[in-house]
Amino acid sequence: MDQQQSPERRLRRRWREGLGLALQDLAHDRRTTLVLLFTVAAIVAPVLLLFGLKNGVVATMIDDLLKEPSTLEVTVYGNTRLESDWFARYAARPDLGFILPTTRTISATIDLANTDGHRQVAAVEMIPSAVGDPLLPVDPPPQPPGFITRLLGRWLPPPAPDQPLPAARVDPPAAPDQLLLTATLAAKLGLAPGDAVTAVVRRGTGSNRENAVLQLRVTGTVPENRFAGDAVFCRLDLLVATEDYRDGLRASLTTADLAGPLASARTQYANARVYARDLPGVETLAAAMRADGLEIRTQAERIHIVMALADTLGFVFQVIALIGTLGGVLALGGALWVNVDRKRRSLALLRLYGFGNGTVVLVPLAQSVAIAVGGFCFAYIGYLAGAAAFNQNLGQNLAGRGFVCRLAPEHLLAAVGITLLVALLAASAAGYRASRVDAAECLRET
Amino acid sequence: MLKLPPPARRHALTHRPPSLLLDVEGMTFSRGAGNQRFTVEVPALKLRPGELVAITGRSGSGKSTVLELLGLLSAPHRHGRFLWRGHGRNIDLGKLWNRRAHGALAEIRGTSMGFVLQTHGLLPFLTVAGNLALIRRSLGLPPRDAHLDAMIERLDIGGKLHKKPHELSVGEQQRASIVRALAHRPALVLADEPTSALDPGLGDRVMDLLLAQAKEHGIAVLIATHEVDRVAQLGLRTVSGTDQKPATGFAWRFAD
Repeated sequence: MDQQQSPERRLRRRWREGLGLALQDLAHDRRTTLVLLFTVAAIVAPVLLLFGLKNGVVATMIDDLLKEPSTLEVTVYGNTRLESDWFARYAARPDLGFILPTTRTISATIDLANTDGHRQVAAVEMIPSAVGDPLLPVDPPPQPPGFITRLLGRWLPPPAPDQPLPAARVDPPAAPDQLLLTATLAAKLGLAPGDAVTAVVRRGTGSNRENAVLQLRVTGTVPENRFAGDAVFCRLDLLVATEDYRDGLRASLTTADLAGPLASARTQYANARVYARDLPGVETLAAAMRADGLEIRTQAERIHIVMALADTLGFVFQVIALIGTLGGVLALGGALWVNVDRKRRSLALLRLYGFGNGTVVLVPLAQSVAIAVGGFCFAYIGYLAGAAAFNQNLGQNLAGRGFVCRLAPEHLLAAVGITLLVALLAASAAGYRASRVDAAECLRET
Repeated sequence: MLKLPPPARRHALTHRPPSLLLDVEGMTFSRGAGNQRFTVEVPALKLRPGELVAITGRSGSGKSTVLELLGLLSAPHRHGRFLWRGHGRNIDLGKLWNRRAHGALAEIRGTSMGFVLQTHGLLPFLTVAGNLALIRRSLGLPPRDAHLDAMIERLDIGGKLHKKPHELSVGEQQRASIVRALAHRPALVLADEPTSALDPGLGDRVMDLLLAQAKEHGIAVLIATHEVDRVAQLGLRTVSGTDQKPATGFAWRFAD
């Protein structure tokens, strides 16, 4: 009967048996098991906390940087001549976030008044805008819960509101007669989205003075945290048309003109609004533009300081994690090695009962994995307590802007993986030792 | 509950003319060198199914070594013949050793042999019931059946099944070890000084129980023991070790 069992089934059965034996032995030897669990936890918990700290502090600083759109801006200093193929070339760059031509700074102003003319603001800066403009608030990107979040959601710390909810989305003007006002400007003019606004473009001097009066519509306001000061965001063609009017390239500019095609296509622009895609992109983009002979300004210094801090903290973390990992291998490896001595007779008995090498080696390996998983659970509880303390006591310094200590689910998963790897590495020596235990040992004692 | 059909081997045992379970000729084993060289020789040993044999000799004579050789735990250095016909199989163990087929040898040991040790023959971290079920489970047998229940009753360990070995007295441990060695219905049980750790009265009882169970289930038993008187009293066939007194080292020869 048992002899007719297929070898594969017997093998599977014996492996399962080995697994069960390993766990039952751990349960029987509770005190030693607890000591090993705490050893693992004592190594893993500080490393988790440290990584959480590094992660939290750096992420908060980078978030702060990125929350200011000007961080990613590469400002072209003065007026220059940029061909349209130059724009095409830069638009194709992977490090580019946003690019739009603009006119000479001197001609990019407009006078505004509310419809009854009681409130007026003169010489307001005109900023061309288009879809993707980093200065315009966007909806927070929808974040579908990741696999781990869905799996462990209930045990993970709740996703704390680490950022105040971004202001509602503001779309760039869709037509030449539409404008966005900055919040300060809207307040001065007493205008709200949907209101009409009178714009005056002036040209000439002395007796040649001439005005173009345009009836435009406010379609939105740009919050102060995106742009401080007075400005309007308009379509590039409106900006170009006002410059053409000022330069005398067009005879007149009326509200009716705004309904049709406005400006003739240009091949050359005086300036550009350029934004990098991300922080490292600022540097590469700036270098390329400098190579094109442009004089530019960036927030490189501020970015550099944050990146240097991130690198330093990363290095400190790596060193400590490496030492922790090494300590983990040695501590767990040593403990398991000694354990094979203590369990020698049991292993020899298993051999005597006909259990093969696989089962006997599996026992220390399975025990090691179980200890690693259990120890990690303890470590995670310790981490949660420590992170809560950090966030509560040190978080005040950040004025609610971010988190001092945080771990993403993928970091946790990676930490579990590394712990298991270390445990298996530590157990391999013990496993080899177990494989040398001879069944005859239980007959030779006395 | 699923009732398993009676094993085919019992049928074979009762209806076929008895052939040899174990057939050994010209087997030697040695270890060490020079004046520490230790040699054990078994010129011929034939064991019939269900036969009870004692292997006797002074302490240090290599009784345990003979058990290790016959229990497939140590490789013989030479073997003229080493055949096994347990459980309806016909296996040349000598060839398996020549091929170092440890897996196959362990498999025969696990399925067809049982061991009773002097002490500590049970895994300390399992209950008695867990120890009894261990091999049965790995062989695909149910953890308990009528055969095993009867044995548990006869050896009076029914009340101890859920205790761990360290909670048992030495005598109880040894009785549980006997049940464990027989639980998977091996064809051969090898017992190494099974009674030497017990006081004489208890030893007698344990030995009686071991032999009675073996007889009842047709299991052959090889007992290595220094207790010559007890063996003589039981009237067992005896294979005894005699000192060959070599010029250097030690040499023992085991024969009827």
